[in-house]
Amino acid sequence: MKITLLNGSPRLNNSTTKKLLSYIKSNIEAKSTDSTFTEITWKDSSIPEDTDILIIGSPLYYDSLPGFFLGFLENYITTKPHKEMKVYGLINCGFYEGTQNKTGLMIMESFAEEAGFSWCGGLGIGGGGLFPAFEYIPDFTPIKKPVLKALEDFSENIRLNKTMVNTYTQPNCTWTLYKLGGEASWKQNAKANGLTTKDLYATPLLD
Amino acid sequence: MTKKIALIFDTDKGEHIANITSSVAKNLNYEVLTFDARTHVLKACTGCFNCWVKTPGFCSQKDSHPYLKQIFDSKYIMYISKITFGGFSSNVKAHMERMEPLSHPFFTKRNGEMHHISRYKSKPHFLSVGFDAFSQKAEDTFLELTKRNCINCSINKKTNVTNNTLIYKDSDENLTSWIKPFLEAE
Repeated sequence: MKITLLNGSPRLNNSTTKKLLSYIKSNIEAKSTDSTFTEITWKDSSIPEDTDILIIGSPLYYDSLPGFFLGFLENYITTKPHKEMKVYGLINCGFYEGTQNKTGLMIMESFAEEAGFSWCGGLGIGGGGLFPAFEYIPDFTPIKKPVLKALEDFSENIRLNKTMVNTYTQPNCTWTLYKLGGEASWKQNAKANGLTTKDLYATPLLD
Repeated sequence: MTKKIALIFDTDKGEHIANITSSVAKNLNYEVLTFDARTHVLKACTGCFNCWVKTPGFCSQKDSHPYLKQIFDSKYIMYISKITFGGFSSNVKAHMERMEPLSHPFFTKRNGEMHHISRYKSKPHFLSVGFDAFSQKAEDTFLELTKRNCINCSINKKTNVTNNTLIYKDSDENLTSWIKPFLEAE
């Protein structure tokens, strides 16, 4: 089984998308001996023709896929691919609610339809702002649990070639805590750039 | 808010839709800004967040500065696109993404879910026109997507997403009667 992981993030290797795709890859690898993986990004020229399963990973930009990534998919469609592939979608956003990824998955499904591929379902993950911190949090911690479980189920569906309904999840923490944590991290970023919290409110177009 | 509308489009059909809209708007004393995304090329967003935490309000890619200055106080921004995978074409989408400096990194609850607050007191009201979808499913996706965009790009606690999108089926009459109430609204 030839699996291609397609990373649609403009941030390439430095992205949450890359981390999530790697996690899925190791999940599948742990249980399957006959799978081979190819990792590509939107910067590559095409999708390998011998792909059996395509896993599209992307961040959510304006309720859709990033413009750079859309450009890649537009170019790919013009090559009029004649190949049967199974397509799974994985999308993540910085907003709290995993369900906000719904239209992102619909866009991926529309791409699959136009390419003549079989859409097998996807996973939308919210609370992406927490993922950089995930490396430092043990796996058994409740906050990670729903996301890890969803990724495991998603990987298992791919390994077994099973079609799934689009599923949504987010880390197990409250909305308010996520908001406060997120804003604290923006303030930290500003500070690292020599700015104060007040500076973040700049309105240069009025000045 | 300034009586101003910005039209972003690509393809010949998109240009036609922009022309019709433009003449209706001009008759109602609007200033009209048109951006043909085939020639007015903006790079897409790189996801660096510099416009929030390094140079707040401005993008690190300087190509968008003049664009942003022109459009940020428009009453309406209208994205006109061939429906591409149920969404906007990459060229038109890049223009949308480069609006990011108009948002502030902090969060608020809008329509019951998390969104960003606005950097400025007002933001252009979001309108969209799509055409030539690959399938009915793609058309339905476009309607759903543009509703979501409207909420995401709004500044109101509750956003009315009724009728913000037109699926253009080669009727200029429908286009005119759809856009007019927006332009006539105070």
